[in-house]
Formats: sequence, C-alpha cells, structure tokens
Amino acid sequence: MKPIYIHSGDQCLPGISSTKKLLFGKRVITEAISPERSLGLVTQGAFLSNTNLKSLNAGRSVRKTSERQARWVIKVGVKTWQHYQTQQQLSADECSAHTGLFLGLGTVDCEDDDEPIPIKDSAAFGDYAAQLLVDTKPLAGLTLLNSTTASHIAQLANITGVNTVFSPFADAGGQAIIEAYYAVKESHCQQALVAAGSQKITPWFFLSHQNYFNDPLNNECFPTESSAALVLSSESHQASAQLHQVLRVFHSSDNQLPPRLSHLIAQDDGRSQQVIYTGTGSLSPGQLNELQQLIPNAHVCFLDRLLGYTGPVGALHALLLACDLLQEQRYRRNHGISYHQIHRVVIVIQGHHGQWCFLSVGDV
Amino acid sequence: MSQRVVITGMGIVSAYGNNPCYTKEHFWENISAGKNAIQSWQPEGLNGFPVQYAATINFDKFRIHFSDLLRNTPLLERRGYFGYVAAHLALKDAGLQNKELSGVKDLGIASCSGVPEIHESELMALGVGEYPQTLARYQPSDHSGFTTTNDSMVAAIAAEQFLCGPVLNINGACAGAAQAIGLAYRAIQRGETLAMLAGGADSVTNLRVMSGLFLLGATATTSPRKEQLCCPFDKDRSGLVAGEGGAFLVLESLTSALQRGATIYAEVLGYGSTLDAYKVTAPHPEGKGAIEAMSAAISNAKLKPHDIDYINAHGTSTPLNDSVETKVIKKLFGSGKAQHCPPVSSTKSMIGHWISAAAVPESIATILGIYHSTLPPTINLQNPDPECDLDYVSEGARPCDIRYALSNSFGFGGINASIVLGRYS
Repeated sequence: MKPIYIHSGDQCLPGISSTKKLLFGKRVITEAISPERSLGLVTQGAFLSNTNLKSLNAGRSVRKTSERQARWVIKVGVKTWQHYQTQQQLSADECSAHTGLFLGLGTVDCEDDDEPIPIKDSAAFGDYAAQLLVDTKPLAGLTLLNSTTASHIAQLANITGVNTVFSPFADAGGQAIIEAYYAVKESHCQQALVAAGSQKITPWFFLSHQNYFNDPLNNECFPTESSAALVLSSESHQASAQLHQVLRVFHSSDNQLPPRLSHLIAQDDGRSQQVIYTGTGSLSPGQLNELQQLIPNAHVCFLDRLLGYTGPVGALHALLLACDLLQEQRYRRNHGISYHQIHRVVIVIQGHHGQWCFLSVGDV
Repeated sequence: MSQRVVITGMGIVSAYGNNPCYTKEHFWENISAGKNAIQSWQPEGLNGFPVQYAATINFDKFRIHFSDLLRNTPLLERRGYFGYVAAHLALKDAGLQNKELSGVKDLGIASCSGVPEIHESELMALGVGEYPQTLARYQPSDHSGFTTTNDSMVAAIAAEQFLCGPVLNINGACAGAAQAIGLAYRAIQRGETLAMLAGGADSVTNLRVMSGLFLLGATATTSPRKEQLCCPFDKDRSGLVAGEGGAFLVLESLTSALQRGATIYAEVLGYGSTLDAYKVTAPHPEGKGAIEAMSAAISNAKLKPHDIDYINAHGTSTPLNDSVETKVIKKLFGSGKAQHCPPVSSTKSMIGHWISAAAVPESIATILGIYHSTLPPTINLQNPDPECDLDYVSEGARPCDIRYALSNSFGFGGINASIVLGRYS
C-alpha cells in the first residue's frame, strides 16, 4: 500500500501566524460585531484583512473575479504550492498535469461589499431589474462561483490535474483531504494541493448559520475568518506527518458516533493519544462518552473553542496542528502543554447535517 | 480489488415533465424524437429582460404532481426540490427505495450545487432602506438560498433515505455533476461504498444568476430563432439557453447489482477531470484541458480513442465552446480530420443548459442511447459553421450500436470532466 505523506503549508489566521501558536497559549484576535450585522447571534468575530494577491503576480482578471474569501485561499494555496515545488525541486512541466487540486470552501453568497444594490422605496420591479443589469459588476457571475477559486489557483500555480471543490461546512475541508488522499493513493496524480477557507463574516453568513450559532453546543464559539493549505504526496522527503487512514460517512444521530468509526480506531491498535475535533464547539455528551471509550487514553481538543468556527478550513487547521503535535512531541492537556512521545492523532470533523470525516495521522 | 461499476437506476425531473410526466422513458421518448423543451421565458413580473428563452419547469404543476412525496420535505431551494424528487425516482427505479435499502448498506450520494438561489423579490426588499438593519428585520422566504445552505438538498436526501456512505456536495461550475458522477464511480470502484446516488440539480431562472450570466456575455439574447435559439454548432449560435431540473443516477458495484438481480442499464468505465490553468473568462484556445480530460477518461477506461462510438458533447451553443470542442474532438479522435471522428450530439439543444447539473441529463441521454442502440440528435442545426464540421446527428435520432460513449462537461474557468460509459456485457 502506497503511504501518503502530509507536507504542511501556509495558514492565514487573525492575529496569529499558525495553529502551532495555540500550543503556546496564543489565541486569535477577536473584534466586536454589532447585533445588526450578526443578527444578534454572536458578539465577537475574528476577521482577516483583505488580500490583494499582488505578491502572487495575479493578473487583472484574477483580481476582478475573486472576492475576499477566495483571495485568502488563493494566497495560501499558491504559496504552499510554490514552497513545495522548491522544496522537492520539481520543475513546472514535470508536475502540472500530475498535480491535483482539492478545495473546501464556504458559500460565496455576496461579493466583497455585502450590501445589496440599493433601491428607492418606490421603484417598480422592472426598474429594479434594469438597475441590476447596470449596477452589477460585469464579472459577478464568475465571482459568485466557488470553482473560480480553483481556476485562479490552477492558473497561478500551473496545476492542471484532477480536481474537486467541496462546500460549504466543516466536512467540505475533510472531503477535500480525503479525496486528495485517494487521488494520490490510486495514482490519479502524484501529489495534490489541498486548500480551504472559511466563509467571510457578513450578515449573509449569519443567515445561513443561524442553526449553528443557536446550538447550545456552540455557546463558546465565535466565527473566525481563515484559510490554510497543505500538500499530500507519496514523497516522504521533508514530510511533516503521514496520513494513515481516512473515513467519511453520513450519520445523523445526535447521541451516537457513526458505528464505522470503531473500525478506524481499531486499526490504530490503541496508539491514538490525541483527538482533535472540529465542526461544532463540542460533541454531545453521549458522543463524547463513546469516543472516550473507544480511545481511552486520548485527550480531546475541541479546536473550534480555541480558534473559533472556521467552517471548511477547520479540517486543515486540525491536520496542520496534528503535524505540529507529532513533530513537537507535545500535546494539549487541560488546555496546557504536556511533553510526551506522541505517535498518532485522530481528527474528527463534523458537518452541519450529519456528514462526518475521520483522519488518522501519525509521524513519518 | 477494483470493483466494476454499473448503472442500475435513473431519475429525472426535466422541462419535459410539464405534461406532467416524470419518467426516464418519457425523457428518452422526447430526446429521441428531438423535441424542444425551450420556450419563451421572463423573470416573474418582468417584461423586456434581455434573456427571453429557457427550458423551465412549471413549478406549481410539479409540486402538485409530487405533493405526497414533498409533504414532509425540509425547506429547499427550487432546484433542491427537483433533485430531491429525482433522487427518489432513481432509487425507485433501482429498487433501492426505503426499506429495501437495507440490502445495500453504505449507500452514499455525490451531488453538485451552484450559486445560491435568491428570489428577486427578496433581493429587492434587501435593497430598500438602511443596511444591515433591513437584513436584521428581514424574514427570508421559505425557499431562499439565504437560509437553505447549498448542501441542504444532499443532506435532505441522505436523511430521508437513511444513507450512511459518503455525502458529497461539489462545486464544479458546469462540470459539477460530471465530477459528482466521477467521484461516485471512484468511491464504488475502490470499495469505499457499495452504491452511490450521483447527479445534481440546478436552476438559474432567477434574476440574480441570470443577470450574472447575461453580463458575462454567456447567454443567447438574439431571438430571430425564438424557441430554436439554442443551436449548438450552428453558425448563428450566440450563447447558452438556460434549462433547469434535477437528475440522479444510481451507481452500484457489479457484484451488488448481480446479487440483487438489478436491471443494469450501462457501465461506468472511466473518468477524467482537469484544469485549463489558462483564464477564468475563456477556455484554453487549443482546448488543452479538455483534451486531457477526455484522454484521462478514455485511458482510465483502458480504451483507445477509436473505441469510442459516440460523444455527448458539452455543446453549449456558445461561439467559443462549440468551435474549441470540435477542434479538440478532431485532434484526439481523428488526427485533425472530421471524417475519422465518432458522431457527436448536444442534447442541450433540446433541454437547455442545466449549468452545474448539466452532465446528468446528458449522461442519462447517453445511457439510454446505449441501452436503445440509438444516437440522440442535435436539433436546431440549420446553418453549419465551417469551424464545426463533425457529424452532429442533426437529421434526428439515428440507430447505432454504441459500445462505448463519452460524455463531456467543460465548466467556466476551465474546469473539465469527461466520463466514459459503456454497454454492460
């Protein structure tokens, strides 16, 4: 069986350079959000500044057809790929068709300016439609497509291989990792760039996330804007960790974990010492109890409580944090840092509707 | 061990359903007869909108026809209901509905989704007054893309059908559904799951998205041809004509299908997906990514280009796509010569462009073409473009023994996906 290795990449987080900083007690920087903008659902959020992509030599059409949340992903994706290419001494021609691209994204529900086109109270519908055709940006149709982000990364990184974009919640990042894992393992590509981003925090975001923020399990969560990327390949040289097992299932019970999780854990031979969970603020008491029975010695880190809710990119943050834990030989214990030999981390990712992804990560 | 993957069910809700009749047989009857589903269209409450034709579904008739099925459905967008019903029809066709599912554990779903649907009246209401205070007071409609997230449809299908395999929501522009079929095929092939629903649903017949497509210059707006406006490969083609609907295939491992004694319509043999890495606003002029996607799918199927008997083209009726697609087909299949290429048709000429879901009705037309040994036609091709000189089956459906067929989907921004389908033997 071909082993699949993780090569850590870039992260964009508000106020900290990477999730590794969480190990040293750092936190993302939050700001107050007005009740009108948050629809009264939260009081704080962690925001990223805009990215202009000039450092990536992005042309006018890329800049004109990407909005804020796309640009965060493009930036980390392209930089991660360039770093990997240099590190592995790959020529552009050597790898473009042999490289896959897998993304986990939120929904593009509005452009950079989230305010709808204003209209007079008295305007008739016909006038409004005519106004929309004049005031809408000519390339808005492309900006609103998630897949445009994949096009931009492909163009800037010269990636032409197998690809998929998943959306819109935490599981989308997990699906991107899992699909990339299989694409490399089954030789549909030699390596795959995986990138993900959160949805930008706007009133539109809160409309589609009302259920999430109204859930008592998410009391401690606030939304965080961020992005991250990594490369999966069968090349162990300078790899950060190994991705041993993956699993994705649908399971809509609030009280139980998916039954097939036990098979994945069993294959770890009890070596898992750390669980990193993302997708909601916590597992339900029943699910947590079951997880602790399945992996008795492991500690559970609820990433969204530390980092905020990041949606699809939570899966990548969890994976990059796992790489740090494995490399640093330390793991979180009661929100502190303990030093132990740690060889295996299980990542649990939960989507909004019952989509679950599991990743088992070990040292190289 | 790699599993063979076969198609054991199909469900479709298309503009042909306006009679109303929503069966794959009815769909095939209309497709093989070259029946045009495109008609006069305007956004609700408007006259004079520049896009004037589309292949739309009468939503009221549709909801009445499926009132029992939709009674307890969670709130979805318009397209979500089309997909929800199509998935139900596909499972029924495969004999995998509800309790019978227990015989096939680990059934999953891979579906595509496009831009959230926001009704014009909602957009207009939001534009009035101070923002965001207006939004904070605003109650979105039950079927708004604001509140029904773009994985709501797959989640609703997964919950209703007690699925427990992978549940994937894919955004691949106009190649989204082809990617969904491709990933479902791979998931079964590797043994990750026994069966998958694969497909999607889309509707762009709302002011916001249609304005976006119009401003991109993607839509056909000249109307001397009226209902025949969608004319792929014709000299007079001027852009895409939107269609809408939902469609799903049931993909299943051959072992499982044989154990159940299921009807096998065709086999999925190969999948390829590539990126142009060229421009977001235009396809690669030499169709580099499109050729690579077709080659990858054919190679994945362990076939050679000359094995392909029929190509269901992306064939959007846009000036650029049709000439580039013709060029790449000639390059890959005929060493640059049209006479060496297999017959090609665009079923979009009849049902319009379903945007993200386009690949599913086209795959169903291809599968039924294989099953009935008939090439689906291209309609409205009256003035051949010298740059488009392939055999487009423009004289009507044609009897043909199709062993292997290729279905192409090339999305905005250079996202390409091709699928090889074959007769099951």
